[in-house]
Amino acid sequence: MDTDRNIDSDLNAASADRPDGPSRTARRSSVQRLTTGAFVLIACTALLMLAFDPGGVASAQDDDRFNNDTCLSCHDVPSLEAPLASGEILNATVDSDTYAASVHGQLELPCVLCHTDIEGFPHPEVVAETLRDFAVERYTSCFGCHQDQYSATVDNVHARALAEGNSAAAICTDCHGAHDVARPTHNDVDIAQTCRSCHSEVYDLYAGSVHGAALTDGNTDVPTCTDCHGVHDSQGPTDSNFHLFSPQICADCHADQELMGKYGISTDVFDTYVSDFHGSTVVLFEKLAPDQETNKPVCVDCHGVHHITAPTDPESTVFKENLLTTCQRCHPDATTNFPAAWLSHYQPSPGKTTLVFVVRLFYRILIPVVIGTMLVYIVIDFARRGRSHRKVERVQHS
Amino acid sequence: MSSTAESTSILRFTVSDRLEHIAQILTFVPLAVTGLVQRYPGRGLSQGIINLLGGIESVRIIHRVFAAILMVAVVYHVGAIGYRRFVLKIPRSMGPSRADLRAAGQALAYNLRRSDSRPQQGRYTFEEKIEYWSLVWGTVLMVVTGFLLWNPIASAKILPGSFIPAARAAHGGEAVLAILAILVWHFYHVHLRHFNKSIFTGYMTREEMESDHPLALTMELADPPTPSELRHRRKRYVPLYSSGALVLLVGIWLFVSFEDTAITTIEPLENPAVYAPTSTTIDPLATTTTTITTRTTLSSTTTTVIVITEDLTWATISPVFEAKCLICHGEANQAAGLSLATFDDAIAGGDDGPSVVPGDPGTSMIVAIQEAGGHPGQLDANEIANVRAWIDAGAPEK
Repeated sequence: MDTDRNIDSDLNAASADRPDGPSRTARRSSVQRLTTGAFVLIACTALLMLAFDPGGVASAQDDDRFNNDTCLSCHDVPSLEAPLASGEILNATVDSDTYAASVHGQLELPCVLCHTDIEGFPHPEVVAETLRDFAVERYTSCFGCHQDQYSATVDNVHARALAEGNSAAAICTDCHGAHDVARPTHNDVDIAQTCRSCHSEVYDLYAGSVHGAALTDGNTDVPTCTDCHGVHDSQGPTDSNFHLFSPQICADCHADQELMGKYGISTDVFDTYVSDFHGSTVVLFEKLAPDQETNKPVCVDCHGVHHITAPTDPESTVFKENLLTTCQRCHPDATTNFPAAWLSHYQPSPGKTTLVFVVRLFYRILIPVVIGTMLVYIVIDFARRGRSHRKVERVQHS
Repeated sequence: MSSTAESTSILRFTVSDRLEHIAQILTFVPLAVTGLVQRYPGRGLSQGIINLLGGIESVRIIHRVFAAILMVAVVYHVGAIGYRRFVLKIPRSMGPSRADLRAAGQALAYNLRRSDSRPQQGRYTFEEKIEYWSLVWGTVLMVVTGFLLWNPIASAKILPGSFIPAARAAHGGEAVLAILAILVWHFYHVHLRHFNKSIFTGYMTREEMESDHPLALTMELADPPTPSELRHRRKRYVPLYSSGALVLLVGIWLFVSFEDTAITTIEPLENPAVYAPTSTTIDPLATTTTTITTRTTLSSTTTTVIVITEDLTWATISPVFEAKCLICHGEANQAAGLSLATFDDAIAGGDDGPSVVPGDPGTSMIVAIQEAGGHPGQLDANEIANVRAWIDAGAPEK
């Protein structure tokens, strides 16, 4: 076991330096030596703390602590069970084959790398009252090696729910597994299935959507859960920010001409949204008041969230016949003509929304003609007055 | 103003006229500012102004408050015109006429040096009439389109929905036209060409009047009405106008309070349970659950197929102890005083008594503890059966 040997030799080196470690390091001059010295110092302190640990078991078993065989000699046994205060049974059995096949097992990482509280036998008493508490107590050790990913999670929707006392909120191991932790596949289907294990109702809606159905058919152009919600920094609809900024998420794909071109979907959708009343308000909130809620709809408020369907789908909330009902969600008094007040993401043209096109054209012509005429008149008037003023002055002078 | 100038000053605008002009400035400027930023919300300057005014929602409220004030000012203006026409019986002076066309032609001819004389104009020049009637037209259009934008639901009950975006286009186009016209036409004629202060002071010098409004000086004035005539006409006009004004004010009130266009909080389109796990129990070792269950089942079924090693001696049984017991019950540790390192140690037993009683597995503690299960370094069923058989056979050393 390579890792074991490395850790062992580090420890040996540390104990060799222990008697006069600090004084010897002080005498060394080069920065590199100082750094090494500091490391040794820390290692020595850690070892000294272990040595004076009243538990005292560790020192006699230094070697064994880092040997997974030591742990597995007990934990590879089935039905290694302990009852918890909640009445649940904590099964402490670890299948050595499962672990060996995991990404950590392949790297031959020692058990105590994650189980940092274990310093020998007997183990510290289990204080967790439920199985969930037991897991929640332990996931923080992931930080030890995966700082970036862990740090990204600390303000995510799950971490906040957990902090608010919802122990069901996902922790590292819920998505990645514990003893069977595997290298992430980054496969869109796998990701959706992982989220499904807690969010099955949301998944069912998604699976029936235009995006989810395409993913099931093997199309990875469509968004999977994390494409919209983020991976470790996952955000949800409870963040006002998330709702407000969600049009940008949609635009990431729907304003991408190359991607939309493949499916013949218009990329005008974002610009036409932003140039209208709802969209321009939302964009202004994003820029000026990102922490405030607005009652103006974003994409998903009309098109559907997880169960989003193509506007050509008779089931779609924006299918022509369903549009009034959708408008009425925010405009309860709206009647038949009202949905036509929205230009359905079309740029005004002679064919579509002719009236708006004509009015715009009218002013596009009228403004330059009127103001141009005024300017011409003014320039002529000004020139004439200037000259006659000068004439008057000349007459007065002479 | 010198005393001579004062003596030759001619009253051009009454206090009422001057106040109307100030009201016009005080509504037009805020409307233009709050309107332009809504028409061009993407510009940095617009966003700066919106931010300064407390956000887009407050900009919209400001715009509407000033629109309401403007409409009230219009009601006053109608009353003032009526008073002049029907009570004071002052002849019309703002009405467009053929003479205005001639004056425009004459002004152009003069400016182009086709003629040596400037047009002779009355109380209001054709330039002023252009501006006044543009303002009248613009205000009517802004009020009508503004109504559609302020009350889109009510409007769409009567009009096609597309009238609302068309109204929006017209409202914005007309606004740009009006603002540019003010900046070009108005500013040139009363600020640049000659700073005409009469709308603030109310008076114009005789020289100015002779230059710009010669016909107003020569116009024959009717005799002012006698106080009794005035009283008589007022008695008829005031109730008539008051009732008309009341109707208009009620109209304005309806205009601003006609409908609640939208609800204040959007309800989510979907409401799936956020947490809906696919499996009902949470296991801290989550994904390993399956493995553990399988193994437990396996070991329980294997009890029927336990293979008892033929030649059971210390030599064949001790590897089991080495693998699973010696960590704690080895020479180094001897937990509970027990060592299983050698045959003699095993027979000797620990603090709690003999672990191996040759020929009597029933009193051998090793069998009792292992069969109870859950001991660290738990032996599997097959191993326990072998240990039991070895003891049963008299626990032979060789």
